Amino acid sequence: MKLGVGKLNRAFENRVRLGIMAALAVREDLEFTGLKQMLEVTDGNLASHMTVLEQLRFVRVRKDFVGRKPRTRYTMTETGRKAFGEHLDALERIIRAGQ
Amino acid sequence: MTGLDNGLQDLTAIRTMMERASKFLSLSGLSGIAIGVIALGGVWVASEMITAQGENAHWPVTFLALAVLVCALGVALFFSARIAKRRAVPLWEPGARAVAWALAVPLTAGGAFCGILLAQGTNGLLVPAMLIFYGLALHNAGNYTVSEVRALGGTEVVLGLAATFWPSAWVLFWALGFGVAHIAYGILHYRKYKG
Repeated sequence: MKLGVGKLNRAFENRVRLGIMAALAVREDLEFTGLKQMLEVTDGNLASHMTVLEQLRFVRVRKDFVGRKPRTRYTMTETGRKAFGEHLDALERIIRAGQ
Repeated sequence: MTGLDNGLQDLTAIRTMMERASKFLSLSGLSGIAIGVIALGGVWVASEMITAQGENAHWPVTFLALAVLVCALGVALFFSARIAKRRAVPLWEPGARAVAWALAVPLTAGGAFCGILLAQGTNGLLVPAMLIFYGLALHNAGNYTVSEVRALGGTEVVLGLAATFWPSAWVLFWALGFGVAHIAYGILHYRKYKG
């Protein structure tokens, strides 16, 4: 049986990036601080993974101010949603094949 | 099979994050019990006030109802904060925001509707309206927290509809909906989720 391993997206090999995509898949937009709390990672760690996802155009960033506090919000792009969906399909195939 | 193990671990990580992003899990059964007791106390005071003052008691009773609501919210926040601390997550997590919004919209509409009923003197519909709107709010919020909250919401709606048939029995329906139902829910929640 041929495994669909080739279709696993390398961008999601990292659990932090996988977690970001999973969270954004169920919530339309999430703030940097909220994501950081959920993933239990440091500012720098989350920021660097976010940069990767932004460069791949899987997430979109919006920056604004609430009063004087800067706020960074993220949403998943259509490209990101498609890539994440295909990654999940590939995961499913691997798990099915392994049963 | 490292590929399989990895895949299964990835799946667990995905599931955890989806749940964290969409659900508020710092809910305490003790909140339900305490809110129920507060509501029973409130309805007792309200019925005493109405027996003593009749029609003149409307505004004091409204004030009392608002005070009960504030106390109930305070108690819920207090017990949720304790659970959040135990789970080592912040109280104001993304799921909490989702629950707050899910509750706020039906409750604001219900509050406005009850205000209009009160202003027009259609008092017989007040308790049914409170139960129905509160039930819808809970049912809605159940999408973003433990699913049993949806069942509690449904119960409140059914009680509200029943209360519409017997407006004179408002004390009974208030006590059942805001008192007994909360306490029963609280006990079930506490036993199931150990907190």
